[in-house]
Amino acid sequence: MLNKLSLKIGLLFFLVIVTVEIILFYILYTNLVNDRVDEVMGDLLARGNTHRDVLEENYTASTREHVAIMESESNFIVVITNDAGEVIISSNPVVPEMTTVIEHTDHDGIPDEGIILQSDWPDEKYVSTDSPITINETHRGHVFMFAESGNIKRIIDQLSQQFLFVGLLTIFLTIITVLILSRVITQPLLRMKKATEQLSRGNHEVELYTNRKDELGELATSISRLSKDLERLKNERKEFLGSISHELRTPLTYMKGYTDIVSRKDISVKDRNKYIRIIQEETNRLANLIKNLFELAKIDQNEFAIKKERIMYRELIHTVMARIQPAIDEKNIKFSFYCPDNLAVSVDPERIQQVLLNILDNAIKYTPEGSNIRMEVSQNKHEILTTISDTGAGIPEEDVPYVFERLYRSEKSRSRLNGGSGLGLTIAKEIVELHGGKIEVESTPGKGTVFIISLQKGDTNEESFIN
Amino acid sequence: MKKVLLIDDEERMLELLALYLQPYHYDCRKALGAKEGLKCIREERFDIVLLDIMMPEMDGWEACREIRQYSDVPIIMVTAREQKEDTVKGLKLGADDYITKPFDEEELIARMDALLRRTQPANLIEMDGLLWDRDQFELSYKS
Repeated sequence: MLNKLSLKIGLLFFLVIVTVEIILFYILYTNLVNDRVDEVMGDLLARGNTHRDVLEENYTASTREHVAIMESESNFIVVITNDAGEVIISSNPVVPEMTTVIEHTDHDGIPDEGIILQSDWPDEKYVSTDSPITINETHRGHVFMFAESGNIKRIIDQLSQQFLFVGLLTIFLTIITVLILSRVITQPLLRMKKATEQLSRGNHEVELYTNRKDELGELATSISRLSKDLERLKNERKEFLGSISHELRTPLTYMKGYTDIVSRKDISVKDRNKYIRIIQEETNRLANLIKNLFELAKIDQNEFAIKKERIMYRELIHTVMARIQPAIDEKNIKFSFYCPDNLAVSVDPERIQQVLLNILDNAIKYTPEGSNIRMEVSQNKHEILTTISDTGAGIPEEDVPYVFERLYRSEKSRSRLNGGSGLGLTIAKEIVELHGGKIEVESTPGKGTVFIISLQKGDTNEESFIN
Repeated sequence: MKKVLLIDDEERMLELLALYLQPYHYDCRKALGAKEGLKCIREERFDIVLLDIMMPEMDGWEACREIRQYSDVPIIMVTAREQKEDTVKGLKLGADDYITKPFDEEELIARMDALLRRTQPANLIEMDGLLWDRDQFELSYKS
């Protein structure tokens, strides 16, 4: 009960249950009391009626005396009056309260079965009934029955005591029930809270109640999924930092190392030139890597604006082709392409050129000399599809899902020297996605790789920024 | 002449290490990739191994574990990853020291010398350039 939630739930339960209990007890209590009073009053009236019946049968002085003597030993008082309303006989002395009742009675309006005259037991000293004596249809007097209100009070007090006892017992049981209930409900929540605290401290091995079938189980499942995602992200970040460190330090090592060697005195001009070329290559590589990294950082920080223009796709491809021609010639690659005339696209030309360049670059790098690369543009109702296929070595099946990940290089071709920065495809994918398109890859090891870029058609937005 | 085995997946790095070690009279043997490196260790005896961590197919950690199964040749890890976990992992797997890229010529040589000094076999006694090898019953002068 130390925490807030179980206290709140507990208090709420307690109040609701106690209110219901009070209402039920109140109804039960008043009904019982009324029943008891009705019973007592009925008894009293029945007793009066019995006396009256006896007197109607045998209206003599001795019978009247007999009746009075009978009641003198009981808790009840009987008063018999004549037709004028005067007291003939009574079992006990007639006290002023009784006189008042007797005198105020309207003698004629009382039915034969008798009536209850006074049932106000809390305020009056006596409760009373009246049974009229009628012999041969002539009114002969009344039989008044009195009983002390104290008797009823005693009965009611006893009842109240029992109710009080049962009520306290119920409240006690309610408190215990509420304690157990709130515990049962909040316990798993508390454990989950502790578990999530552990998670935020970096301990991902905590156990959650994922095998429960209710909402708490679902919550536990979501939390453990989040935790797994968090852990994966952490590991990815660590791995990325490790890779980035490797990618940056390796060219730096060459630059520093070969500079050290070049500055030695005893090396030949031929070697020196060779080393200087290595330094130049590595410097370019490093500059390129840093440029790509900045590009990616800009995309990550949402500062990358796509400025769409409506242009002829064929022209854009021609520009790209002009730029890769030297690399194609160098590797003696057969390049062919097909693009329908008058196909207008609404894209950021700079960025889409970059996408095509990155993918073609990748294809050229991983394709052996003399093989084919084909680029084909087609369209359907909604999209423009650009397919770039090569007849290179292909990507091993297990690596296909990761080719767009940062710094990922297919294991076999990981070596930096054939590979690019490991960021080109990632950047291509991000740019295509910023255009609202998607990029897919299919690869058969030994046969080649196919990249498919699909761009949405008929985009009316001339400019869009990511946010 | 100490025999050094250089293991890296890049020709350029092997070349660079060899060039660094050239003036210090080390006999360098280059192995391109972990597989080749392991083969060399199985075939020959080396005084020290310089092992790169980030290599395709088999990385330096795995190679290190493998080497330790049949050889206790001193290993220096050459790594571009200087996070604590990475260096600790290497040392736990049986590496004797590590050096981060880009490395310094003097530091590289100093670390290699220090490691060789510590792991000098007890059966070799050297004094004033005179070397007595008790196992081989061989006495040599300024090898």
